[in-house]
Amino acid sequence: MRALWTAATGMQAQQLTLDVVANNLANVQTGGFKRSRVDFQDLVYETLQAPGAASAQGQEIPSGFQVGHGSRAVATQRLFIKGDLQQTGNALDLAIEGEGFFQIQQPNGDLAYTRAGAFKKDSQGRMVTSDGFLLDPEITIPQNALNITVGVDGIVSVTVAGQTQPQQIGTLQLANFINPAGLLSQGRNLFIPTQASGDATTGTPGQDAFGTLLQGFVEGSNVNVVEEMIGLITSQRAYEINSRAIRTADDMMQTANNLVRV
Amino acid sequence: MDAAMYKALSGAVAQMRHLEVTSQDLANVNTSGYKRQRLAFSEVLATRLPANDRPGGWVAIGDQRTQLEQGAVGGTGNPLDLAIEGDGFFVIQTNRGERYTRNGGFTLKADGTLITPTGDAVLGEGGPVQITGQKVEVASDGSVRSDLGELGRIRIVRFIEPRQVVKEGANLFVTTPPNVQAAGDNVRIVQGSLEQSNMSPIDGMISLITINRQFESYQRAMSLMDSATERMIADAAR
Repeated sequence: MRALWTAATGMQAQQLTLDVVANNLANVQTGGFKRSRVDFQDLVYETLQAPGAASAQGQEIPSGFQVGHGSRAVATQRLFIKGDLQQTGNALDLAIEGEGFFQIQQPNGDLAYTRAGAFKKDSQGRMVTSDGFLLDPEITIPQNALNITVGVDGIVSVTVAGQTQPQQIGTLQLANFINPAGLLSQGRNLFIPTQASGDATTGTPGQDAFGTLLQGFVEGSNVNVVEEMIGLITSQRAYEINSRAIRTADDMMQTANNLVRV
Repeated sequence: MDAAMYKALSGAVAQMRHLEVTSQDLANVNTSGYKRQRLAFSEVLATRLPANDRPGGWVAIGDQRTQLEQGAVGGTGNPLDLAIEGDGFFVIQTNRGERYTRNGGFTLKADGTLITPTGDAVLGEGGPVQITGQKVEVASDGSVRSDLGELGRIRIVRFIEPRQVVKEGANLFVTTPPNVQAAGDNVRIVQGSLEQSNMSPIDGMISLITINRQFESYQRAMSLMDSATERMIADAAR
């Protein structure tokens, strides 16, 4: 019975959806998190009778008969829809309003990209992520800085003790990709470029298509609990109905077995 | 007697086929752009016998149709998710030739070509659609623009005879080129949305129950005929 295996592929596909939904829900409070979804496709078909084949001299069968083999998950796609902005009042919390990513230097020297802009200072006053990875270009905040201002265009300036004029200490840059959905998630809110995402183009916040910076805000997760719940319900029901198809196939085989009386 | 037994058997076999098709629909209840299939059964006559003495009653699959009716359009917010409202299909370039799909969950290649998740290019009016720049917008007539200006128009086609269309898997349909023409003006593209599968779990549930019960009836019929024969043999031997 092909139906057994067909329904089993449907159940596997729904299990995978559940895994992805669970990960989305686990990150409902993760700053800068972007939700994923699973894309499905139907599997190959066996054509038992091709449409247009001749049924008799001069007669064509108007439609054929095809039996499919189920469905499969073909990709998990990350959706770069904006998350809600949350006000924190913290001078080193930065949110990007619009397109773009912060550039982060990983310990191995490679660049990674993030939308999570909750930065901290390390022992030398450099701006780092919560994991201690450096922001690129490096911004060092002097020890005697009284307050830090980050402009919408990424210019970082500080006022130091004993001076009234703010002094400029650096400019933040943003990176963007032609296809952000092709980025590879690395955990720790970081993404790395792939063949599919293309190479990063960098630029000044607010120029071209780059977003502007907003100080004292962080971008929240773009996971919408209601949406995920609906995803959870539909995939659970789809799982259930596929298991019913398996049970029907099983019942039918039992019925067939009952044909022979012993 | 034999004929009756085989008639019941042909009915049982048809129901097994019906289950295979239904379980395929159910496995794809969450596949974007999936179109369900419908079977029609037909009676087969023993045509070799004289015209006034043809016992009917054999069952065969008469017709299988892909139900092209619209699936629900659900918002995703992703700019490269496109749904079609109305009678139209996206044209996909594969190395086997042109294919057609209703699944508009597209993505980009590194060079900006619009592709399906399996990497085949989506065709526009003049070849593959290339996307450059930011803020991609797709209008309801399929024209694509970004902050760098117009980028072309996505090609939407319809089938002249929808029954001459075969499913290929990977959400793709295949047909012969003369069966394809440009879609009408009433077809709209909705950006940031995907068309869901048009298979409804409730219909599937009902199908599963009827298939199961009908299969059981055929089995009953076969068992009854078998016991009748048994009794006949026993009576004759007495």
